[in-house]
Amino acid sequence: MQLVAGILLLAAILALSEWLKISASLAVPAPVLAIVLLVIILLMRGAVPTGLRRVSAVLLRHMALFFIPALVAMVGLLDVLQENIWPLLLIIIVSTVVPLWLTAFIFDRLAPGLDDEGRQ
Amino acid sequence: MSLLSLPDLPGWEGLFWLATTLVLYAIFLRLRRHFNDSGLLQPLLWVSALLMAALLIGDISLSRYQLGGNWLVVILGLSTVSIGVPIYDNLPIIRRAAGAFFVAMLLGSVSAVGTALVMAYFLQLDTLIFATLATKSITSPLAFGVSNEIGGLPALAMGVVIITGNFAVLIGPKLFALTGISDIRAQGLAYGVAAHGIGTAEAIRQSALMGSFAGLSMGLNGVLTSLVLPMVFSLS
Repeated sequence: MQLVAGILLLAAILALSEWLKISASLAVPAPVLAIVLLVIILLMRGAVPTGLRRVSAVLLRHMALFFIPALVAMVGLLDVLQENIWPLLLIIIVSTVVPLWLTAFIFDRLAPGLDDEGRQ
Repeated sequence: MSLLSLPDLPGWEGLFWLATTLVLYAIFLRLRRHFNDSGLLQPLLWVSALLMAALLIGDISLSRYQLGGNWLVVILGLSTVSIGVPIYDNLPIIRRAAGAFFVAMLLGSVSAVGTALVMAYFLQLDTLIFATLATKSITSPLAFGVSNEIGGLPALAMGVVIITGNFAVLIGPKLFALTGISDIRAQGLAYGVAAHGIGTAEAIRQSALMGSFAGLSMGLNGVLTSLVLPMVFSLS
């Protein structure tokens, strides 16, 4: 029952966010809005309900599974990709490596140290 | 694909594709564990590649796969909302580093869009692809809408976003080891900025703290970029 309640809570928050986004024509995407709502609800409640904790643990651990259809949909894009493959690949490589390193580097320099459990 | 407009019930064909996806995913999870978490064995990459090959070889249209696949996209929505849980759990740690968080996120975000656009300009790609690339570091559902708005190709934007995410996850651990960045908060933040949802998924798999930084930076970065880009493109 707790698990079902957890799923229903997530679904209700997401549906509410989708409705809010449409009715107030917000620029924020519904899932992002939903994350904010969930954090606010948890802050007000002061704890994570057991069911929600278990459901979210499973959903988060297998998030990659839910991305598979988006990747498979690229099958319809093969033509456009093929035409521009080398410039696109080059751009993707550089514009992934640079921000990945730069973001981590800047934070690493600026942030106050973390207790030992935060280091690998 | 949203909760307010659910896809049709999958039917037998949709269920077949759902089951195939799940079984392949389970197999590659096992394989990855067997080979000590090798980064080359990302289940997402391999399962998708196999399914794409099946569709191409069998001359099966994508819409038939999506009869089942669309239901996974619905669950992706729920799974995205769940990121709120690790963010809530780690709120005190996030708050303590808020200043560094914002500076690193903003500069990282500018560098992501900046490098892509400068290179597209010098490689003389046509304007359509130029506008498409601008959206590359926003999370996929967002990239779709924004790319449309600034005159790019939404489908290609999704593709580029997804390739970017996979590539970042593939090279991330090596890059951080090479540059000696061991702070998992920094790594999570970087995954969120450079690799959006796919990066966040990987960060959460590695640690809840890393995942909470990734989720937060993905959300904030996505919102900021989707507000700023249309303004920039309407000026030029």
